Amino acid sequence: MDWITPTVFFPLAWGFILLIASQSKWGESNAPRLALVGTLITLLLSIGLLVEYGLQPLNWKFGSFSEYVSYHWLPQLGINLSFGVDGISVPLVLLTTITMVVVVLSSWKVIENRKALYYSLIMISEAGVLGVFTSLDLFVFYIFWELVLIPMFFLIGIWGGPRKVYSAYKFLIYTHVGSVAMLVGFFIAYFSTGGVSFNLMFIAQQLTSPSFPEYLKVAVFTALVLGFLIKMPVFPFHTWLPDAHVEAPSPVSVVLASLLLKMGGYGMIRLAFEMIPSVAESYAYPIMLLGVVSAVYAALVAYRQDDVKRMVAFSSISHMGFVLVGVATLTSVGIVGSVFQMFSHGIIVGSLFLLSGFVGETTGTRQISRLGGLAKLIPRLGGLMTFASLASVGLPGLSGFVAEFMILTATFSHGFAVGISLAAVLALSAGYYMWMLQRMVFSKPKQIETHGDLSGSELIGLAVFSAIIIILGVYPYLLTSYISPTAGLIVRTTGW
Amino acid sequence: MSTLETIAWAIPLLPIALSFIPILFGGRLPKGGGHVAIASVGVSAILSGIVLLRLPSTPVDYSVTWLLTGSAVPLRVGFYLDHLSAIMVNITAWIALLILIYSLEYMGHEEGLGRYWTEMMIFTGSMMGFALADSILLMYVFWELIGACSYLLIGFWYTLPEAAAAAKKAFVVVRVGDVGFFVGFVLIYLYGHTLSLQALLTQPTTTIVSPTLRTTIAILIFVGAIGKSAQLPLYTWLPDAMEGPTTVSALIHSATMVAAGVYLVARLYPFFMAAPHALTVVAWVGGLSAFLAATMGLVSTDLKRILAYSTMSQLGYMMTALGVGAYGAAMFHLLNHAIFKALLFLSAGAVLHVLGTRDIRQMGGLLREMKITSIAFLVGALSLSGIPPFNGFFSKDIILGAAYEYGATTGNYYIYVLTLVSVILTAAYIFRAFFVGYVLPPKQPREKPVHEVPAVMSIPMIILMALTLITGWLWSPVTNIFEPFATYSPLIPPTPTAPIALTAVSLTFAVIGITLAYSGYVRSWFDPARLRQGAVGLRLHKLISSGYYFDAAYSAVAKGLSQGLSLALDFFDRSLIDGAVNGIGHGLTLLGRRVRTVETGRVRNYLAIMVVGIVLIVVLVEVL
Repeated sequence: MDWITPTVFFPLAWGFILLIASQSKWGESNAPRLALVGTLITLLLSIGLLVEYGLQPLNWKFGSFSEYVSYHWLPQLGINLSFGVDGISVPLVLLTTITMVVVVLSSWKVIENRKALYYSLIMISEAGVLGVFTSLDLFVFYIFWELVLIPMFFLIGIWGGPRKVYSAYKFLIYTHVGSVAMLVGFFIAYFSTGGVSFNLMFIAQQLTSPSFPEYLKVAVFTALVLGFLIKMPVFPFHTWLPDAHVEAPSPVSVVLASLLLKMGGYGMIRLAFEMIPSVAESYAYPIMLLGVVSAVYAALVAYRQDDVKRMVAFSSISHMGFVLVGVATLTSVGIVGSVFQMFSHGIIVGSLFLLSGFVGETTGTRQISRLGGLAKLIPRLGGLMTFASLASVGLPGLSGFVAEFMILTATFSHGFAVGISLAAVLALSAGYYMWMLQRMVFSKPKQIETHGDLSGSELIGLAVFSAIIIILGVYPYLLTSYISPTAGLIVRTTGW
Repeated sequence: MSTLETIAWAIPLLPIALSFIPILFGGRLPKGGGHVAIASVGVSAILSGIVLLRLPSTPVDYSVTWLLTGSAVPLRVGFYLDHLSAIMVNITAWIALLILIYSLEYMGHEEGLGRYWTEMMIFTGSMMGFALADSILLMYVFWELIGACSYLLIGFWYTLPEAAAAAKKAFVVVRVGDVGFFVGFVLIYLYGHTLSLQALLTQPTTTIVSPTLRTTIAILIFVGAIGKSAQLPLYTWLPDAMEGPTTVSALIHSATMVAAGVYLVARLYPFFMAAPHALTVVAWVGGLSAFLAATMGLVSTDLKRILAYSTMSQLGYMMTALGVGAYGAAMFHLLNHAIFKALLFLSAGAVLHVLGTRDIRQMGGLLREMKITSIAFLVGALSLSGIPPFNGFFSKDIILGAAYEYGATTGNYYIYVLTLVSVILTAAYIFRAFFVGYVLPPKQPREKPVHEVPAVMSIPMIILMALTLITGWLWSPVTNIFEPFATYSPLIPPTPTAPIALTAVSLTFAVIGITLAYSGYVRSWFDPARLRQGAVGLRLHKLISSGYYFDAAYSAVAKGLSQGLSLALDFFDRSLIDGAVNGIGHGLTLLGRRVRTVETGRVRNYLAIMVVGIVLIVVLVEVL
């Protein structure tokens, strides 16, 4: 059975239904429940996809893809609605559908006006992200990529904080520059292969042929890498991220951090590195160094942040640096580590954004220096904040460690100096997270007005995230059994 | 699954799996769920005893596939039973059990008790898991969990700023060492393609071929042990960690956290032996730590801090033993130290419980009022000083003998001298604490009468006192459970035996130390305060009491990092990088004014244009 098409298009349809429902009073008041139902159905569909993918003997059709379905759309231009998943995209699809359920749950109390529009945009962006992770046609990939961008712009711009307009425009324009770079790359690839098809496998095949001019390969690779570096984001293309994350309402920050950044990481593996492996091989080392610099740099800048949400944003950049490094090692351990890191980072940083956003909502400030003793005042938040921070610094037994272990192993195979530099991030991040906990969560309680502890739907969402962090940390086999065969296949077929 | 396999998995995982009970339901349980903690650790302790009695004649390894990394060899983790792991898990389980029983009264009236029991359960379970782990990867997992639990437990009274700061310090300083351990085992995986102990213990030279690499890895792993066991130069967290509850200190200082560092080196001993010079480094770090910590113990007036420096010093002895080749003696001393140090801490905790002070100058006169507590401290102090027939004597004697033998074979007598001088200092600092804190009459009259602690607190002390008289004989002509290591790993040579004359020397030194404390503090034959007068004495006192300025140096580095480099980078990020982005934006806006007629700058319109565009393309394609 084809599980992909409903997984991608159901949330899109549901989003438009919500958009229509927003005209009625009934729709407005029932929007949160409708959205929860929508995201839960999508989650079930994606579990169906996961089960089917896991059950069937790996049926490789093109490269490392399976589950290949295709509908004619614009055959004259060589554009088809082609979808497929493999061991790299399946975990990310699951990450998306799980995260979106939690996003809806945690929006429950935060979003008070124009609810139906809000949830409709959330559902549309879910469809966009799922489309990005499953498209096998570059043109369709681009459409889904942009389909995420526009709802996000409104989500930040309408429901955001005090500097929402600046941040929303900065986010839109900045990441759009990345999209354009990517689109240019796609067009070069499309026209230089004869303008016949946007099919990913077709273009990948043409690009790897020895007769294809080297300079065009480099041009495509450069354009794509630039686009994905902005999206991930990697130093020095990262400044859209802190502003967007800080100004967005917390559930939207979760969508940004847990899912949008992963689009960049996924594109980096799937399109830049896997599609043009020979060029990737010659540029891998500088790209890896950039990842290391980004991880160290963002960790150091995080020390100075007084706004806890901003600190988490920089920590997010630092951890995404690991993803880039893992891919650029061109080893199967590194790729498994990167995909695992994307999944784990999505969950951990998602928890941290929800928690730090909640701190702001319940106390009226997110400034670490003005807070203190939250563990005493709001113990559930204190406990979960401690847990999520320990997960973020890579505590073994929790999911972040597994990914960092694999990525560091892969990095050390490229030399002691890069490995040590990246390993230093482990100590650095322990430093700023523990310092934050000491001042904000522990210490003497300051005179702060709080409007209650975590409860209800927010608590359920965070409990789901925490359970996943523990399960994957204790038994990472669950996820790596999907990623590992594909990563092995990629390394074998590309010949790295 | 064989019975033994089930037991091996159950020992560490039982307390961890049940740890959710106190924190979630502690409010509805008597004593915050303390009985759950005691029962689960109790079962683990009994199971550990069964393992020791039923130990198979060759090491066994029970594992499951844990991680796939895309390459051919999946990573497996599980538990490993041999003589060493069986002994270690028993030390941990039984001492932890006694401390947990003592906690029932000691912590009984605290707020947030459920949290305490949960953290203690994970802490103990992780240490037992660390002892039994069959791969370096799993050892590292439990190692870090131990660190995280100690962080939470040291910061148990987190509303006190000192406790919150001490907890953070313990985590971060130990983490710096952990990075060394982490890099070390990543290198093993990279070059040896395995993380299983079996491979490293039986074929260290074929697993990692290059000797230089073996040394590098061994030293990196040892850096981790330095952090955990609070050796030079990463010891600074240990004295501050006294901000935690005394039961936590007792557990950290006896059978768990700090013991983990020594056990790590002991566990990987065949690998360390195959790494040239690595053991020399271990011996030096151990010897210097033993000596310098003893000097710091002499100048402190905080009873718990004195015990903390004493721990650092005694762990130095264990590291020295490992460094000079006395593998069995290190584990023997680990066992004996765990017992007498737990005893000393429980006694100190009882005093703190009753008097509410940790300053020895404000105590005094306890020998009359709290007899069991005071005798417990005396027994612990005698054992620590190495006086027979207490257990500390037996293991310290073997270590000193081995250090002497090491000098005789390598010509390096410095290690022996350091450990021997430390014997005087050890006896002097612990009896100074005993005389001033327990024997001398109190300086101020008591505000309220002082009573002995209840039985639930004194019985664990009595059991530990009995043990200090028993465990010393485990390595004697009668019985020796510490030497069969050789039959498990033929790579480990037996510990050399020392001539009887050396025993006489070290015993004399210990007596000198006690006499010095007695004549200075009880008899006042000389005034110890005069030692820190005069130019040299003053400077020396300042040097020692500041902890040889390690702490100040680290603070400076941390400050430089957070306020210098980080501040500069933050400025760079805001002004230059983001400034460039905004600058480009402005430039484009200026340019954009020319094409304003088309581009309204409204994203909503873009969306409409995008839809129209797609429709247009579709229509065009269909028409053409």
